[in-house]
Parts: sequence; structure tokens; C-alpha cells
Amino acid sequence: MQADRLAVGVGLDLTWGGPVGFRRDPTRGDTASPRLARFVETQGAELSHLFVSWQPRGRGELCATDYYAAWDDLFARVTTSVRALHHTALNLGTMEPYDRRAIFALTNALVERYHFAWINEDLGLWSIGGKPLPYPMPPLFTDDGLRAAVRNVRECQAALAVPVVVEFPGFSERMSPTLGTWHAYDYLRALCDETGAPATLDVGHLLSYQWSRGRRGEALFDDLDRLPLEHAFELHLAGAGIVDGAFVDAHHGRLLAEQLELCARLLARCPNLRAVTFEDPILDECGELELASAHSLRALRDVTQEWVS
Amino acid sequence: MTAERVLALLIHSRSARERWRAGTLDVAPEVAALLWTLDPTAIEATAAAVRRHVLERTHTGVGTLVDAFPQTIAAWRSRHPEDRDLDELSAAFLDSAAAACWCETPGHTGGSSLEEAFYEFATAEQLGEPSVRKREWYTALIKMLAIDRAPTWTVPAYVHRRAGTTWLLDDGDPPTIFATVGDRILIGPVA
Repeated sequence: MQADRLAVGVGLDLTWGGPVGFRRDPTRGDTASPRLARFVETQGAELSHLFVSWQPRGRGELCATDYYAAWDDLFARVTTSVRALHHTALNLGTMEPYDRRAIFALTNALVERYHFAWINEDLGLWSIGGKPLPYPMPPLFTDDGLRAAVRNVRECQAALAVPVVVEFPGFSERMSPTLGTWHAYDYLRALCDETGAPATLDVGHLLSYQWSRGRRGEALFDDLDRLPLEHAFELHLAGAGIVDGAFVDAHHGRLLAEQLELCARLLARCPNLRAVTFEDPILDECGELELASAHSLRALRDVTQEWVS
Repeated sequence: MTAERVLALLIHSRSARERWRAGTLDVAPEVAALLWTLDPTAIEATAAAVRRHVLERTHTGVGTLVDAFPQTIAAWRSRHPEDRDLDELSAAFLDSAAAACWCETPGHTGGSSLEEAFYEFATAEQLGEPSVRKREWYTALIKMLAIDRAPTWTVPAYVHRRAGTTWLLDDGDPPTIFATVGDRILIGPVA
């Protein structure tokens, strides 16, 4: 884990077949999409760190070598020295038996080959009952749910080659049914205390939780002391909005003023914070940041300027 | 059934949600004691998102269910002209015994593919011509096998695999072979 503070970095969700992601090519070998390639080549050096989100290449057995062509193509172009991996398959919130052996083998191979410094994963469920979810669900906010999450995090900590950073889950578009009575901030704090895991505080996720509890205005910033502030390693900020009265974790590159405000408050209260990450900026066809994303990134750099220095 | 399995059931099964609302969902007392904390609005919103996700989920080589089963879904539309966005189709599918067999989690083996589960659902519902339905399924299946040589979903027993070649035979009229040869897909009548 990095000992010094990093400035603002970027996180990218890399889908297969998406405009910012990977292209399958059985003849020449898989590659990074042109937008992605251009972005990391031209702007990677300006970023303090870069994380990429792992997405399955297909529905086959997990095999790291299936990813090498595309990821080699990407990382040959990346000039950002500090890199991290955002996982999407550890299912840290599940209470059911969940075999992670193949996932661990794949992940450790990727960590070794691409020198990821840490692995970030949402404290939630990416799948339930063996079926994928369109948006990860929060864990079960019960004592049993917490015990299961602690077991899951410990298993990942023991099996993975680099630190596992546990991210506060999102509560988007009323799509996050919560079962149990634990306050989600207390829940994450208890989990970090039990496991020693560093935490990622996704600013939009925090706001979405308070929004889901009916908080508005200044009350959106309530309860921050209930978070594991000492454990906070990274802040995430992804584009968000309010649509038809619902908080939407849209990842569309446009940060709300409330996200920047909460970011500023957390910078002042998280003594061990190391990284601030702008997630999923929108890239145009030339691999440049679209106007709104560029504006958000500038605003985020302004907010973090003093903290970085 | 554990609390997580009940949650999965409520998200996927319309009939389970109806029983929950009616207070007739059969769950263990310790799970029942937790269910009061669930917001029915959040369950309905999540279930609606899952229904859209099932229809929009794209798999390399075969696309969405709508791409893979155009004529079978046209038969559904003909039967249910009011279901313009196919939300009712998705709800009926997810509530079916066939959908319960669908399993798709990275690193885990077993269960049906989404396409096979939908085919079995469509067969139970007698959607469209059986021969057309089967051809759509076999076409999707051979494309899926061309993409993922070692799939995590259970390959049906009627698929033959030998020496890098995969094939299955539709014994309709005319008999048709569906095969992968190297990276290519071959579909055609058997002379």
C-alpha cells in the first residue's frame, strides 16, 4: 500500500464490447478499445493512480491467460505508475456458500502481471441466488450478515496478494433493498474494526444511503463520525443525479455539488486517506474527457488541492 | 430457507412477492421476523430492474434474449400485444421453474445458461413453432460454445464434443447440423 498521499486518480469500468473497454478479436488477439487506448496514452501521466474494474470476458471457466491479450494491450499504453483493481465478483456481502478459489487464482495472476497495489471491492452482492444483479445490493444488515461479511473479507485478505479495500455500497434508484436494522455506517465501521480492512468511502454511495433514509440538505452529511474514518484509504466520486426524486448512482461524469462538499468534509476527517478517485468519466470518440467530466475533474482537483499539498 | 435466499426469491419471483404481500409466504420464523425491515417499494424497484436486466443482458456472440429468440418472442408479442416492453414476458420467465435453473456467477460451474432456461420456459409456454424455437436455441447454443470452449453453464447432453469440434443435430425436416469448426460456425442441412 502506498505510504504517501496520492493526488486525484481515475477509475474506469472496462466492459467487453463497450466504447471504453475491450474488443474481442480471435484472430489478432483482444485489444483495448480505441477510446480507452487514447485516454490512457495521452492523459495517464497526469493521473496519480488508475484503477480498472474487472468484468468477466465471457461465461467460460476463469483463466487469467484469457485476459492477457487485452490487458497487455491496455497496460502497455498506461503511463500511470500506481494501479489498482476494482473487483466485481468477490460478493463480500453474501451469507451463502460462495466458492472464490477460481476468482482468487485469476485475481492474483492479474495482480502479479499488472502490478496492482490494492484491490477494491464493494461490500455487497453482485449476484444473488446464482443470478447476476444489474446493480450491486447491500449486504444483509443483521448480526448474521455482519459475521458473514467479516468471514468473507478475512477469506479474501488471506487469499489475495495485495490489500483488500472494502467499499461502502451504493443505494441507487430505490434498487437497494435493505434487510436488517444495522445503520450502514456502523456496519462498515464494525467490519473494518473486526478485519482491519482499509475502506473506500464512495461519496455518492454515502449520499445515496442518507437520501434513501429521507435525509435532505445539511442532513445528508449527518452521521459521518459513525463511519470508519480511521480506516478510510480511498474516496470514490462517480457522476450522480436526482431523477424523479430518487438518487441515481449514474456514473455519467457529472458530480453533484453535494458530492464535492462531502468530499471536502471527509478529506478533513480521514487521517489515513491516501487516494481520491474520479470514477467513470465519460470519454469522447477521441478518448478525451467530455466537457462535463472535464469540469468535474477540475472541480475535484480544486477541492483536493490543499489536501494533496 | 435463509434470509438471503428469501431475498433472492422476492427479487426474482412475482408469485413470491404476491405471497409476501398477502402474508402467506412460507418462511422460517427468524426470517419472517426480519422481513418487516424490507421496504416493499425497494423490492418492487429491484425486481423491475432485474426484469429489464434479463432482457437487456448481452452475451458475446448471441446478444440479448430478444436477439437470440426473435421468432419465439414474436409469438409472445402476438399472444400478448399489450406487453410492448416485454416486462410481462420477463416476469413470467423469472417466475418459472426453468429460470430457477439459470445460474451465472463468475468462477462457478453448473446450472443452465440464460438462453437454455429461456428455451425451456418458451417450450413450457408453447411459444411459437417448436421447430423454429428449437432452431433458435440450437443456433444460440452453438454460438455460445464457439465463444466459450469451457463454459461454466452445463452443456446439454445432446451436444457432442470431440477433437476440437463441437456439434449437435436437429433431427427435424430436413435434419440440420450445428457445429463449430475451429473458430467458425457451421449450420446447415444434412444431405
